[in-house]
Amino acid sequence: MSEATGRVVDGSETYKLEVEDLEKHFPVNSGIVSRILRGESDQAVRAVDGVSLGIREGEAFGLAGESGCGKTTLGKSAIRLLEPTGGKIYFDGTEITNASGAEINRFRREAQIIHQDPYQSLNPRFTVYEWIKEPLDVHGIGTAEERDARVYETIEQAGLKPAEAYAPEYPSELSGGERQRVGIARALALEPSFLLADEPASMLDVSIRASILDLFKRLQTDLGLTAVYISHDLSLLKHMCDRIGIMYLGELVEVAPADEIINDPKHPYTQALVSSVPRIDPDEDRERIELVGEVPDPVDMPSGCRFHPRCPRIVQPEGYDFDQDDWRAVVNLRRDVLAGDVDPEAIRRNRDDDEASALAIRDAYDVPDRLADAAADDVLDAALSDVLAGDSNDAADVLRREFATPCESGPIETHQVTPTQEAACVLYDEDEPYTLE
Amino acid sequence: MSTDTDTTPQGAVTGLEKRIEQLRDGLGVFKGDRLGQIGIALVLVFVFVGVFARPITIEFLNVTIPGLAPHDPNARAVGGRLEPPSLAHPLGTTQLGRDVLSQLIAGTRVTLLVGSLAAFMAVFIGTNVGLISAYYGGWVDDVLMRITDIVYAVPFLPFAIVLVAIVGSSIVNIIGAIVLILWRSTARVIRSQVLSHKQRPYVESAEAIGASDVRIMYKHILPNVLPLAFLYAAFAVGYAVIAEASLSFLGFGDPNMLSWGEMIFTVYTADAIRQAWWWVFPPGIAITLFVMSVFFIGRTLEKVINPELRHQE
Ligand code: SF4
Repeated sequence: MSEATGRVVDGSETYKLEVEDLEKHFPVNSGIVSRILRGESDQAVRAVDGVSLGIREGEAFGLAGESGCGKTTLGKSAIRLLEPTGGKIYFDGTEITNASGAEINRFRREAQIIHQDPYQSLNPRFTVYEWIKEPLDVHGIGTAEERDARVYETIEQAGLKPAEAYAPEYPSELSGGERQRVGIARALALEPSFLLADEPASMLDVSIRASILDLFKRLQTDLGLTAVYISHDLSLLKHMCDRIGIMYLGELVEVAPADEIINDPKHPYTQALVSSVPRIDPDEDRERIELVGEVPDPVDMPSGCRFHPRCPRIVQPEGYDFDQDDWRAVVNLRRDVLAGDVDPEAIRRNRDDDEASALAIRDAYDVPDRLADAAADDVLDAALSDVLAGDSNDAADVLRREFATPCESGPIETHQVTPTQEAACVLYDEDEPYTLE
Repeated sequence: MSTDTDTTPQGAVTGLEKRIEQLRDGLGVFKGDRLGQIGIALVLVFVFVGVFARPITIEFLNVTIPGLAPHDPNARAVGGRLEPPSLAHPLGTTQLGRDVLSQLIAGTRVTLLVGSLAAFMAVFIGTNVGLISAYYGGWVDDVLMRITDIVYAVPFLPFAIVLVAIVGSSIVNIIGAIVLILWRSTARVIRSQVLSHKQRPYVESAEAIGASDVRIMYKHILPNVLPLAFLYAAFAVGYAVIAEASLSFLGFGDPNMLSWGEMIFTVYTADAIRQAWWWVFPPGIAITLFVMSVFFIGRTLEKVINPELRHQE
């Protein structure tokens, strides 16, 4: 499709679907026992945490990220299948955040969803005909004959031919690919202008995946639909979409045209994600970026940039000059010291040493015996001596103060990196001299 | 099942034919299940006897189908007092000279009526309570489930005796008392089923097209939990019959409605239990057989709902 144009910065562009600071938190510990034992808790899984995004009229937008990053929750909240806990939603310029009654009904006619699991998303007690006709009944569209004709028309549109043969079938008699087409036909019955496809091909056989995706592409062009595809598969999204947004732990970290996301990702998380996509082009020598560390607990989010516990490009503290890999290692060590999790005795036992030592601790965290920057090394040495002496608090104070990184504090702004590409990362803050290259 | 090859049927089949096909598939579980077959056969016999127990007159055709009962069950002295079985009275007579066989046949009708009506109403209420409770959740669920808990705490017989003592022992009141207790188990089971169905993506598919709550509950979820309701209905028939018999035996039955329980009650009050075995055994055996056969049917139906049971044989 066409090369996507830059976002109109003054905000005058109208979007098909726009969300502003959208938030969906799921409460945890809401069971009666824990409520009594621990009191009302305000802990929540922050599945979607302040996402702002505009989907343009007629575009195919891809939403990517690891599983559990909140992409499906974002999609479903944006079309009000889940009730957002914060933020605003606009559809065709009209706010629908709290719409109800006739207003939400009108929206339901316009926005449809294709579910991930074709085996679970069709009601086993409905025939294909009944299932596709239901939306027409619910919205009272046309006369009985018109509805009937529309059902057969959409069945064919979804690629099930002859429609008469499929109409009386129950889902249990259909294959996965056929069921997914039935789901698509139902979504199309109301002639919507917006389609959310939640991993539409991931549960299907590889052999039929391509044909389903082609169907989507064709329908989108033929019907002029605006579509959002949710997938963890970047190469699939590149094939399907004009623009792609990358999510990490409930936040949108980068949005850019599909080509740029794949060929020139800006956000360190996107870079890691893209580097793990198998390449067809053998000339391309791209280093695979291994992400270390665990995905943090969504209840207890890291401060600042949520990616900082794993980010290979995490910004160095002012006044020091590390080798970047060493710095990453030091950050890991620092994090554990701050959390009071470094136990020299355990490290000694693990390594079977005679005596706990600073070198052993460094080694356990892959920190070199001497850092290139002498001043930094002195700070680390002092901190490690404190740890060995049992003064974890002193060590934590020193490290917290000296090795502070802008990545771990404050809200991380989203920066317009190129006219078409935006990323939420301090590396692109023009007022600050963080840029490494 | 779902293969890619056999999915294109020849020509269109109407939805109705499909439904019948599904029903036949459902009844397929009775194949090779001896107890289930016995259950169905027995219930059919009972239903036949119940329907044709007394003469039926069709006014405008001016015909009367003769009843199965050889005598009027309430007519006294059709034979001698407490006569043992003979050719004239295959099951003997009561202490007032009534024919026991005729009483047994007439009692079938009352038993069937009480059993099916009470079971139907109890399952109807229970299914709706469970469905609404699970679907809406929140305070609706809290209120309905607390009520269910309270009903669970009520013992049947004392409750029914007090109720019948207050409002009088008519067949309607007895059915009412049974229903008021019997719905609780269906409510709980249906609720838990609905809770699991509510999570399934097909419900979200219904929400996405803007279907109303009522539509989602009754058109989408209900058909999926209905087999379970049928199962509970089968068991409920059994329980209702036992409950009616117990009440009647304790003397709280409808005096105008001759049921099996009522028969045993009369034997007992006539102080003839030790002596007139021909009077006690028939209603006792009838109750046992009927309850057993509905449980056999229920047990077979359970395999439709819970297919793993089919492999456990
Ligand atoms: S803000 Fe810092 S930690 Fe986050 S992605 Fe950018 S460089 Fe990495």
